[in-house]
Amino acid sequence: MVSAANRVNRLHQQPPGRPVVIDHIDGVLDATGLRLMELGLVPGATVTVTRVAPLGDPLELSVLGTRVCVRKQAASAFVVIASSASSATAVAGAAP
Amino acid sequence: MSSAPHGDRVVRRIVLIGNPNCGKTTLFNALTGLSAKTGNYPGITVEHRVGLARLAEGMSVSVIDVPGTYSLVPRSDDEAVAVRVLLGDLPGQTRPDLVVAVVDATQLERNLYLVAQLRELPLPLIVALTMTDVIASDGGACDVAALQQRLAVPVVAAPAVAGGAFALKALLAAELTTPSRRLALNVARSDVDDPVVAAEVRRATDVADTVGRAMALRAGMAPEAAAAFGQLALQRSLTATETAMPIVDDSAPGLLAAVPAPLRAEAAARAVQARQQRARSWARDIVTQASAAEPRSLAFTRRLDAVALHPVAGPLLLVAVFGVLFQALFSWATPLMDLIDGLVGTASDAARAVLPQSMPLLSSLVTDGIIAGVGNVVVFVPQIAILFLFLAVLEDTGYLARAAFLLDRIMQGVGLHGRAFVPMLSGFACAVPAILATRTIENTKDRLVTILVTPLVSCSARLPVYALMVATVFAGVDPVFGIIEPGALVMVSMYTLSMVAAVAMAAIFKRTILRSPTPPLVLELPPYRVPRALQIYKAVSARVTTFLKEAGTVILAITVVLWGLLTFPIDHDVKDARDRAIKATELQLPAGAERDAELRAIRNGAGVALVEHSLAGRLGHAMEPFIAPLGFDWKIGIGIVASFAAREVFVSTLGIVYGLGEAQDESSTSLRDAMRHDTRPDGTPLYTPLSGLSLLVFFVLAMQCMSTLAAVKRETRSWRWPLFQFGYMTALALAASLLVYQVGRLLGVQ
Repeated sequence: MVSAANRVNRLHQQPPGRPVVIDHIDGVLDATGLRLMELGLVPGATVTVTRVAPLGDPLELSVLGTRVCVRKQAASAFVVIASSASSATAVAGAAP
Repeated sequence: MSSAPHGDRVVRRIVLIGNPNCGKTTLFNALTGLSAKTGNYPGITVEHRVGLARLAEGMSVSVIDVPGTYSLVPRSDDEAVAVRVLLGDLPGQTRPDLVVAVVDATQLERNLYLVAQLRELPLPLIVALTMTDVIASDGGACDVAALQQRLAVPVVAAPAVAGGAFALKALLAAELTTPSRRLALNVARSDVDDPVVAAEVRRATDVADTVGRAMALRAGMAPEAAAAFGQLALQRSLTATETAMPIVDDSAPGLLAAVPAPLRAEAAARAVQARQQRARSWARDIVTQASAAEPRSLAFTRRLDAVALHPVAGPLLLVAVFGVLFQALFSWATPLMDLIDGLVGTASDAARAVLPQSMPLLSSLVTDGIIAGVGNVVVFVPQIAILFLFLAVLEDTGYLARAAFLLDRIMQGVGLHGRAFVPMLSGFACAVPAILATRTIENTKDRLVTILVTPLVSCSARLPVYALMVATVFAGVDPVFGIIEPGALVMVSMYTLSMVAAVAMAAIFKRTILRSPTPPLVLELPPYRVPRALQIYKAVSARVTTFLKEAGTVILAITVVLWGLLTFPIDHDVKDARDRAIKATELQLPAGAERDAELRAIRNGAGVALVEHSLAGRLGHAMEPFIAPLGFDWKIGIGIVASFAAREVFVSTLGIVYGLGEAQDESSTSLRDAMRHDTRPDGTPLYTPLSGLSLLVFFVLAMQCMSTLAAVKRETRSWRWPLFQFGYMTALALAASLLVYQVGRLLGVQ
């Protein structure tokens, strides 16, 4: 968990090209959130915003080696942390 | 019945299920060859495909290809059909005898999520790995044996190369002939450290298990399926889609809704996470790359996307691609459509020559009713074929997904689904192929909204009417501001009106009768691929055949009915007088131009009287009190009735009504002159800029097209929506024309 609410870092705010790790999903999971989880956006997974559409929305994400487009609105539910060495261990630890 | 009798044996059923773009359709084609047919389950608009696969000598099985899905919790009607086929949850259907999970080896981990869900259910399952040829050509390898061991179900590589389906066929034959193994289920349960969260998750899971037991009972499955079914119900309770899934919805309804949503969300999220972890552990080290470098297949896609999705080049390319599509629909289809018109004319002439002259009514029924009706159907084939050829190529290469990515923001702003772009654009050429193209919109309500408003987009069949009216009533009007040609201004206004009307009506429908949340966009960008000829051929031919068969019969029937309206009852006095006059003229005058002109004049003169006497003529007269406030008279009324066959028929019908014969087109000066000189009973001209404008507005908004209605009936599978569409568009047209004409008169406009 990120310590302070005002420092929460969300997926839609990420600059293109920087990998981040999903920490948790904010709010009650809805149809889109569940679908994104099914596509691999689960806590512990590494995801990269790879591109922003010319009109500013949607975003293109890279996850599990696939490319998925989502609107910023949907991406904003995903709270992320920087993909540092420590979080890399967290990813490994999440796997059984 | 689970199995359809075939010959004297019972054919067993196999279902192919997998993620979108996983190579499932290629595999299906390899298994079934050209035997595949498009099918529908009763009451369900989503299509699936069925074909026969010959597995061994004397052993054929029925293979069902269902829409691609990422999970067993459907978000769209397409996905719901896939899951319902799998679970035997469709009326009159039982579970298939064997499930083949099609898994894209290049995206193993993501694809294995669905396998993890399938492994939780007691279904006879095998896994077919596609794209192994892509991995091999990139210099990598795929350890099929290790994957089989981890999954504990048979796994076979089924690359899209010649003979790639051979091993799969052998495995299918073996699986279907051995007694089914009892598969140990593999349900993903998460370990939760936090005791509070764990208690919450347990609470939701317990209720889910109760619902799951009811589902398992309903499905006729072992009680051990309860946990997995409970998870499906739990996740479905969060998605609030309007897709039908009776097996979930009718089993212990309301039980889960009593559990607070955050608890259900937590339990569902944990289960999804546990399944993703399982998929990750299954996929680990199965596929090995030759080097750490980007595989060649992906490098190509990345380079192409650097242009196709570029902030500047991307939109330009998009405009170019759809510009070519638009051009093809608008002009490249024209020679083919003219050819069909020519062939219809030739066929009519041939029929007229063959049929006995003593039976003019039969001759007229065959030529003006049946042959014209067949022509009315076939004439759409070029545009349908061109549109679906383009769409199939764009879809198959992967470009359509890029187009949706670029356009999503705009379509969202308009309030229409991102995928509504192609139908709306195609609507400028013709609403019929456009309505068939709405099939790519997954959400039923968004699809209906698009279907309902697409005929408002000004199609090419309205052009002759616009051209005739503009040339008739606006030709003598002074340029606006001294430079703008009024005709051009009117044309632009009509196109603008049609677009504004379509967008406004879409907004109204979305907020009223077809209220639904903005569809979420979750779009995958698959790697670019070379389009596959067989796939495209099948997509195009399936569209054309279903149109000819299903919409075609309706169009043919209505053409014959319209012929009847314009023919009966016959005024025998007029007809006999005409026949006598023709005979007399043939005796009096020598064959030549003079006699032909005289005969034409007799026929055209009688034509006016015959049409006026017919049901359509009476309908025109009966309509006059209602359409007079719009500035129309009974002659225009007849034109409106007749133009239901196709809007451009309005022009030729006016030709008949004005005694000029039916061979008039919008550039006919004699028709324009006749119209300009036509007056109302009080002596004022009938066609003024104001009544012309009123008529133009009517043609922009009215549903004057039986073929569109037939296409809507075919796509919505009921008469309810086409009738509603006819009603709302007619009301809109009448109201708008009334407004134009009456306000215009109040302002003193002529």
